[in-house]
Amino acid sequence: MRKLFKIFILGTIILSGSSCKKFLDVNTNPNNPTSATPNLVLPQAIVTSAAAMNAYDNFGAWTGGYKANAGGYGGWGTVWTYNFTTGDYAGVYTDTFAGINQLNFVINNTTPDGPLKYYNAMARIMKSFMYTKLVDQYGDVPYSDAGKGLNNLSPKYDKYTDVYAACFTELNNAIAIMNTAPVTNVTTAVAAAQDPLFGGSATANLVKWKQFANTIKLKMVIRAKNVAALSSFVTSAIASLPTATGDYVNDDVIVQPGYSASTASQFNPRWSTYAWDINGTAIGSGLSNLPTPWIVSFYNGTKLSDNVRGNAIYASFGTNISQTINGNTITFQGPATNQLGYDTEPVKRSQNGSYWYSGIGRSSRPTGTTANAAADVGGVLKGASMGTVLMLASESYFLQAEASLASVNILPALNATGQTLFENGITASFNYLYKNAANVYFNSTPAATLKDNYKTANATSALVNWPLALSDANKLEAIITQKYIAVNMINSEEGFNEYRRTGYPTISAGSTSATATFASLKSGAPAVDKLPTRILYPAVEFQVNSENVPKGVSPYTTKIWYAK
Amino acid sequence: MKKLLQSLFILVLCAFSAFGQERTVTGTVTAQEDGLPIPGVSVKVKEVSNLGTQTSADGKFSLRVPSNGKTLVVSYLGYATKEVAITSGTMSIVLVSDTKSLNEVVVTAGGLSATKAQLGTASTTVKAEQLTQAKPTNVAAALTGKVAGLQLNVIGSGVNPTYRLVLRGNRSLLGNNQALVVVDNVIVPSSILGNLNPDDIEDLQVLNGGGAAALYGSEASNGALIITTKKGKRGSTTYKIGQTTNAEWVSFYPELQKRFGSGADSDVQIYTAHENQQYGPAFDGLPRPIGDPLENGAIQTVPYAYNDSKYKFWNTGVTNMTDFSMSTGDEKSLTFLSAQYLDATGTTPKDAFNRFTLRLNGDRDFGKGVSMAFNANYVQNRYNITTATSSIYDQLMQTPGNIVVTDYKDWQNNPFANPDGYYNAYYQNPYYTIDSQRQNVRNDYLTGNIDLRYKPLDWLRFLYRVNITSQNSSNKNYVDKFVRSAYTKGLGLSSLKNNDIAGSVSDGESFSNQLLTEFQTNINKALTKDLRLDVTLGASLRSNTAKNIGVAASGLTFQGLFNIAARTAANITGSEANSKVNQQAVYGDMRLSFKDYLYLHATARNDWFSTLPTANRSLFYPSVDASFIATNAIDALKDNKFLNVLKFRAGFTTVGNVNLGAYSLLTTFGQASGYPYNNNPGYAIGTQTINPNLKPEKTQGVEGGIDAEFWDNRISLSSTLYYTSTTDQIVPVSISSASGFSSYLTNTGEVTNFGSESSLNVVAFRNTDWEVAVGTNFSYFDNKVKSISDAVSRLNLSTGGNAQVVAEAGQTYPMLRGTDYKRDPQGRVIVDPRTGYPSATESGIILGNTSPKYILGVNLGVKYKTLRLAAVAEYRGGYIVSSSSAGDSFDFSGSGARTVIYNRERFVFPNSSYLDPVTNQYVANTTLTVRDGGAGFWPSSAYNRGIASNYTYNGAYWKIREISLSWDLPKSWLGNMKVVKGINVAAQGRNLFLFVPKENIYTDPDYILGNNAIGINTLSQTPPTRFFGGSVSVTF
Repeated sequence: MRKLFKIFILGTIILSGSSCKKFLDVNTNPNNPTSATPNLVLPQAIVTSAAAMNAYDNFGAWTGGYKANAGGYGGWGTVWTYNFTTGDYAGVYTDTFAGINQLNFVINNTTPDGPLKYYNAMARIMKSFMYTKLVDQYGDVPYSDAGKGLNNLSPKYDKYTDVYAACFTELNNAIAIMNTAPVTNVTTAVAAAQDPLFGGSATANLVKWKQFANTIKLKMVIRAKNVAALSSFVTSAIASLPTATGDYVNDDVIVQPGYSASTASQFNPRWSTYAWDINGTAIGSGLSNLPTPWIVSFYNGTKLSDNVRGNAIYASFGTNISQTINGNTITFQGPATNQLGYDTEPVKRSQNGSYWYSGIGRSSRPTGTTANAAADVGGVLKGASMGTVLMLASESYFLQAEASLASVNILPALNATGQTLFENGITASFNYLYKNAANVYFNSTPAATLKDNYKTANATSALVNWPLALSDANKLEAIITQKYIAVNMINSEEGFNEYRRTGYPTISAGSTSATATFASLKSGAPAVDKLPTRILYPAVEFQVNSENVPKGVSPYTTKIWYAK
Repeated sequence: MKKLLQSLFILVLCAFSAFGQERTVTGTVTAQEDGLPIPGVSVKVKEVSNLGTQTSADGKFSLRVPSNGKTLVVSYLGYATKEVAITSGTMSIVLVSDTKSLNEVVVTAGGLSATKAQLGTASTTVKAEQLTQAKPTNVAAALTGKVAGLQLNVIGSGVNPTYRLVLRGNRSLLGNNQALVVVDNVIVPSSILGNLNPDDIEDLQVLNGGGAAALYGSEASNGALIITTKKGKRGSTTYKIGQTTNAEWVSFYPELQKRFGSGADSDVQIYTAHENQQYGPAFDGLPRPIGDPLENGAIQTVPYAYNDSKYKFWNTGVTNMTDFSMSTGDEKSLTFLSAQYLDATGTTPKDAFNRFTLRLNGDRDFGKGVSMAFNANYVQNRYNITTATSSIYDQLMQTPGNIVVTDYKDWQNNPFANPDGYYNAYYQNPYYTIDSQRQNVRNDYLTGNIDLRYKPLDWLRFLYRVNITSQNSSNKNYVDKFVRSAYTKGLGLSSLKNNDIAGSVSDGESFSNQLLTEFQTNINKALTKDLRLDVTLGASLRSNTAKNIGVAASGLTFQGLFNIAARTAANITGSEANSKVNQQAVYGDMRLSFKDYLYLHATARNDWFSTLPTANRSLFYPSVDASFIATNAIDALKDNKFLNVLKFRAGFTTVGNVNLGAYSLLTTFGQASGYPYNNNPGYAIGTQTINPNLKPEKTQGVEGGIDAEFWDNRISLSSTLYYTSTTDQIVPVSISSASGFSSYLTNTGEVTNFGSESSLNVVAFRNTDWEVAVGTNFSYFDNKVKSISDAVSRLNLSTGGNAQVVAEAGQTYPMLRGTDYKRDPQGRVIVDPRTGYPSATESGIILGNTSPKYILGVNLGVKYKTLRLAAVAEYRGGYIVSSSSAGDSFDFSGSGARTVIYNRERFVFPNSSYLDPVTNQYVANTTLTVRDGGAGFWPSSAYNRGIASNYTYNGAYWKIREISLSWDLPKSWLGNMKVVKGINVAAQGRNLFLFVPKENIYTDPDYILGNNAIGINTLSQTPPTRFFGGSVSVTF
């Protein structure tokens, strides 16, 4: 009996006392790491940032005249009325910060002069790139308070002027870091696999990073040029722009982590938006969206003749196709198109993989898993393993061409003529569209020759032939229109941004003709051109950062800061 | 002759005794309710102090009584003490259960027990009979309508519904609000509740508030269900077998239109043969083709007229329960053994469920004060159900009224029913979906307890308890592959018809395990003549471990072969999650009793949690309560003929709620989507940042109440008022993604719960044959969100759709927020003067609270001899429910009843106005009609579907929850059958009738989403059902 009693006492002691600390220290996460290093974070930070380009392109493609609703699908709402809510295109904001937040981790855990200085510089350039994309859609955004985590949960909004200036400084700082040589045995090189954009910190790659940074700077200056609030910024910024065309982007800036057609999660995100999934099931956006007659008119001869790029981008380009819609068979010249807002049957239907998968490079258009895996196809949708474009070389050339115009007077001393730069821009567009998913140009005719053929085919058009554009205004229209064509379904938002800035490509404001304007037939916008001016800050900012988010912004009447 | 002799002998003996100094009194004590002997009953002689004995295992006693002994006092815990005049011969004494509930012994927190008189907090006892009267398969289902303060909801319908059981309303914003479940003194995962055999339960105590359950520490804030399973009975061995069969039917169908068929065009009604939308011409009864021609040119033609096949889609479900139990006991040991097999098919075709439970409970006395009790319970259940309930329901509702959907059962052989030939270009054949998207789930539970007790002294007791509760489960989900014909794909109808179905399969295994050890010391001693002390000190350790792994592949190689290996795509995806949570506690419970009328009770507990930051790991929870029995204390009230019992009680408590899983304190990094690419990892910092000083949620509460009994205890009344305030809620607050993170996990917010719980039970009529009892219970809830945080005034508890359940500062909790029509200052809907169309508000408005303010339960029991009729009805009111996912589907497709209220013609939007541009005033609209009253309006998200207020409705209802009739066959009928001790036959129905306001055209408001977002009903809940069946049980 006594013994038993002792056991009980012992039990109590064991239960309540000695084992306490050890027993409770079991909260170490066996599922996920709670710390990481910049070399593990930077690769996906770049890829996550690139994925945000999808949200931009989607917004630009709907609003900038590149795509429209296809038959058989409903529920378009604000897509075609432009009466955007705080829920529309919210991904532009949140996806961008998803990238910026990753980049900030790299910046905060590296120093400009430490062993990881190149990681630091790359993250700064990417961050500034993301911020300029964001400011170009929203104007004021959180910058100085952003990314502070627990130290600031409701970051204030900085003026777009301040953000632009800060980004410009960051780009200069990053270039300066990249201009310092590695310190042997100290500096950790960025390995090829850790830099899915340019392939690491080898000297040749750092040159590409600097070209990219310079081109972002140039783009900022051009966008800020006529904005009164940024006039002093522009003046000082111009002085830091290099004057050699070789210091700017001369090849497409593409993020390629190793997208693969054999793993569902490794599909290129743009491909996953329009084409087929890993099982060869056609994706909804590809089936519910169609090109517009407006954009196709720049290829099919209505405005310009451009079979070569038309064939590269669109399925069935220029061929007769038939569709049976509600029992009636209609025949028309491909691709199937629709004007945004048109919904009176028959509305043309899309097809599996969308009309943006041309299959060019193959004798016949592959579909399903074959299309996913085909690495030898060009166009805008090349294959599941294609890279994500951050900036096209042609955009860089068109920016330089504009900067070199006398009336613009940003880079008057650039070592290339306006015509050369303009035509290089067109050539670069041909070059990109005839590159396959493996980033190899496959057209037997060189891109420069295709550009020359294009000039010939449109011999009377000042939009193609530089000498015919007599005034700087004509030249600017040609540059912007060609840029509008080049970014079609690649960086569509840049097409719409430049329309807002310059008014090009020219539309017939208020018209309902499908090739005279790209405005929606169901537009509710009161502006003369029937187009919206901007998107709204996302709903979540009004819920959780309401004291800071700018209010009174209208998608119809609040112009974006660089708007004409 | 022999009998006569015997009688004579007894007579002589008695006569002799009467004259002698002493005589021997013998007898048997039995219980009234089951007629079984009661062992251990105290039998004392009133006139002679210290003379008494106890009954033996078979209920018998024998006592030498001196001549002055005239009366026996027979008493036993839980039974009314009886005084019986000593008679000659073998006395037969029948004890009646104590109707004076004050002396009833109930199990309280921590496995301790107390008499009802001692309780200072509200609790409700649900007797086994009440639990099983309607033969539910799930214990939770049997509680609704019977317990004041309890709200039960169905969160997953189907073959084995899951329930959400909340006491005194929701108090945690995002944490668990469900009552703690304690089985045989051990906290178990709430999933155990749905897997208990209801027949194994001896009694169930509902501890309504945190105060009563405070001894359980951090999990007690939501109240508790204390379940005690049966033990063997001393003195007799009984066997019971039973069989119950219930049938289940759909009891409520959504209201649909019966007048228009396929068509999707605005402004005009054009018939479209393969269209799911029903904005075509009105039915005319003439034959029309449906769908597109098959490859061989065949096309179906059916009359263009309404049929009700949509309602015939649902099956009659059948549930069979077979029970076996054995109960036995002698002086040293008790044994209870039971088994139950349950087999159910549901109303959704092909859904099936079975459950097998096995229980062994035992108790053994080793002598010298050492004894042991043990329980072992093994449960296995198996599901074979579709994973696409919501798609099926949607597909069914999107079916035009002229389609005979039941004709498409045989999709394997009927060319018009398979995915190639099915008429509908946009939605799959629901019968195909049922067969092609399925899930097989296996769950095995094993729980076991051992309680070792040692009582060295009369007033000292030790207890050592160990428990293991483990769950082991696996599941396989699949979507079958289907390759469409080239012809179908060539028709180019829709993305559905253009694509093959690739198929997918996923497989998972999980286990979770709880180990608990607990040690208790109890001292129960009279300090003075009037003051008694009952102190328990205890300590416990608990460890919960879980692991979950899953693999998935998409793209099947073969139709009908669901194995990860049989895939077309190269990669498979996999996941793994582990968790371990440890908890340590010491606690104390003290009861001071002064005479028989004043009781003071205090508890204290300190917990240490592994999931909290080291500095905040330790939590202390105190509680006090007291009760005062006026009828025992005040002479004037004693032995009052009318007022039998009057008791006042009050309590105060603080409990915490650790609403935090393992490993939640640090931001984690994870492989970003797609990574690793080519053997290169890429880790992304997580999107949640965490307050480094997280502490548990804290609920402070006060409650006070009164219990009274009148009229020979035939009327009992109990009423409680409570107020609790829950602060420091652990909430992931959404933050600006520009901060670097999109959510912030912190302590913030306060919810207050005020309410009352009352019950009144009346035995209206009673005589030897009859008893009519009526019970009512009424609960009032007033739950408010006082604040959320400085930065945030609202938390969304649901996502998707147009209406969200929110917690919003200053509002009732939970609250529904959603879009409404834009209205003028007079509340009229503003329409566009050009089109007549209304428009939606930009952001949501408050639509109403989604939790009932009032719940009324009514119980009726009528007994005539051995025939018993029981009925339970429930009313809930004062809240709204949203069925926007159903409404969305109905109105989009045009099957909804709403879409025909204006005959699909242009109509003036009711109670509307428009802005007169000249006067800038809103003018009542009486003439301006909408541009299109058909496909242009109803399916429009802007004008109709996107308006959440169109799909919210008063959630009030009256429901007849249970009606049961049970009959014990008279013993005389069984006279010759020596073996059979009793036969009971019963008929029972559950959820038989539902009465809702006219505006509810959707469903039973009880069917809601899980978690705290109560008030949203979706298509994933199949239509509500009623059960009806019969049962037989035989006792040997």
